[in-house]
Amino acid sequence: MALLVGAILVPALGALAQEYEAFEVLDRARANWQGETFHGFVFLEIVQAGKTTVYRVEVWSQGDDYGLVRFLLPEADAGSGYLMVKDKVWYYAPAAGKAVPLPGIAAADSIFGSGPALEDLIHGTLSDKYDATMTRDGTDYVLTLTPKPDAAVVYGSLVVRVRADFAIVSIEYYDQRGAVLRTARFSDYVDLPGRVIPTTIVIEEKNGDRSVERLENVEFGITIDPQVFTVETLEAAK
Amino acid sequence: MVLMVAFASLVIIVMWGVMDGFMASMVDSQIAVDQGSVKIHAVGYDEDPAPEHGLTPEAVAQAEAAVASAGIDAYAPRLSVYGMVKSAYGATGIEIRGIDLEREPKVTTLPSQIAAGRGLANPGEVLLSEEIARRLDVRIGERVVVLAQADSGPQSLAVTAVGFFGSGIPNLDKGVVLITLADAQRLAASSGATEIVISLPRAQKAENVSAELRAALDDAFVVMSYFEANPLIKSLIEAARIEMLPIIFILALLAGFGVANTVLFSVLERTREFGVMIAVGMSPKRLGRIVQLEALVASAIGFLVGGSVGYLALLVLTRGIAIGTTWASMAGDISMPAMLYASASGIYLLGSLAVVLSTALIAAWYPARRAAGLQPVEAIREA
Repeated sequence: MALLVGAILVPALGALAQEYEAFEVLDRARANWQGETFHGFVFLEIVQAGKTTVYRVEVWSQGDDYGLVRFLLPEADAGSGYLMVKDKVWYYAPAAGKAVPLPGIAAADSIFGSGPALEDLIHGTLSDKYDATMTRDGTDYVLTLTPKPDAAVVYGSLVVRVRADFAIVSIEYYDQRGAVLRTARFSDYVDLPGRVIPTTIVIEEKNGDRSVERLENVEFGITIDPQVFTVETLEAAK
Repeated sequence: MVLMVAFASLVIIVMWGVMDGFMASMVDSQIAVDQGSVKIHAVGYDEDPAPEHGLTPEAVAQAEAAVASAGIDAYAPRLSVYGMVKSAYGATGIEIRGIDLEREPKVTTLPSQIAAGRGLANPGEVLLSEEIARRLDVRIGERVVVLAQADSGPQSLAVTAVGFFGSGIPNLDKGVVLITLADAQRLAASSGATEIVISLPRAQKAENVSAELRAALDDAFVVMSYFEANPLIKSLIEAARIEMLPIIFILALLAGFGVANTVLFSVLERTREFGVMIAVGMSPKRLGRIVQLEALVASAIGFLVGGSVGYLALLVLTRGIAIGTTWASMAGDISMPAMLYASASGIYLLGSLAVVLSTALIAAWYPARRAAGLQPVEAIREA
């Protein structure tokens, strides 16, 4: 689940290509987060309006164009899931028995009622939408991402802190009034072959909503059968 | 009797004027603010209102030429696409409506009903309703993103909120944002429009114009007046008028009982007097007419009082009645504006007068017949 992190952070990556130092930092951060392929489990605890809901989802992704998210918990949602193939999105619920195509813009909406959107779980979409500047804070890199004038971005800016080993430390989302809207903090780093990734991400919203995501059994750079990203596979869940 | 007739006259006039006025308010508001008098679509658009089922640039030109040939100068193309509007604080599903900045204000008033900020002036700008702005916590000058599903895939566009409108029509305030036609075309990846909206002067009958345009355009176009496009509204108005008839009947019955009772009592009280009048040579027919004339005069006085008060009340109500956003929201499916206006017309006075006088005549028939049938000697003795 280059998931959330990939999602949140990857944005930055491409955007900053113009700035050599920023480019380098972000490129390495991207390398950490977004292998060409990803498979893993994500445990999510979402607190929305004081009510806590726990989800467990299995995620497969390949580049920016392919993703499959399957709900394992809660029981009521088990077997349901989303498939994203390029600009197309399908939703499947076992009770319905058939995958339903959704408008592609559904990928931009939260699938949990709060917290990450589908595109956040599968890939980042903001990479070409920001200008970037970078400073150093001790050994950390601090990247400030500002939306390009015509970029379809609702944030005022993003501040991404990256460790010297290019693992992400935090991302702060600012609204257009300069107030922090959302903070994502990354922790519990593990060394994997060729990358260091945080396995816990805590996202706190300004309105008090909160989500905790834990990555489990993550695999990067694996070979994923193209058949995974098909409606048949989405509908195969019981 | 006078009071009962006055009450019936007052209620009939007020009820009639309020109902007519409210219905007219609802329709006028829809036409003036949003819908226009007549719309032209491509065939199939109503079944699936997506830009790909809209009018091509060639079809827009053809339709506009037909409209201009009909001598109409207030018309504008629009491109509506259903999608989402997102701020940093939330997102909501919405109709994203692209309008022609020069021509749309000649057709509908929505773009100029500015409650804060200013109207649209350039591409890259968006006009939100106050309600949407509040819900998404958007301030003037802030950027929002509109998203839509085009044939070529999801499209998004960053636009700056330059103003907030307040239409008073819940469906619009909850469900529409305005951007420029060019931006909507970019968003929908379309160079055409989804409709041509036409505004007509009050005196011009929309159904006649729509028929004329239908005859001028080929089968690829659908031309509909407001009522042709909204048969439910037409049915509601007709139903409301029909529902008013039993109430008028009950009021007439009430006034009639008052008249009949009073006149009959008066006839009984003056039996001897009538006996003498017949005895000295007045014909029974004429006596009957006198009794009916009394009833008519008394009813006319009652009408004068009740009708005057009722009409004055209507004149006050023509200034508008705030029905409140709760009621307006409850009526959201038919888009009732939050402010309704009664209608004041001489027709209500004449109609009410006709009801009152005919009721008086009918009600006085039995007492008049009784007076006309009196035997002079018995009548004089009875006293």
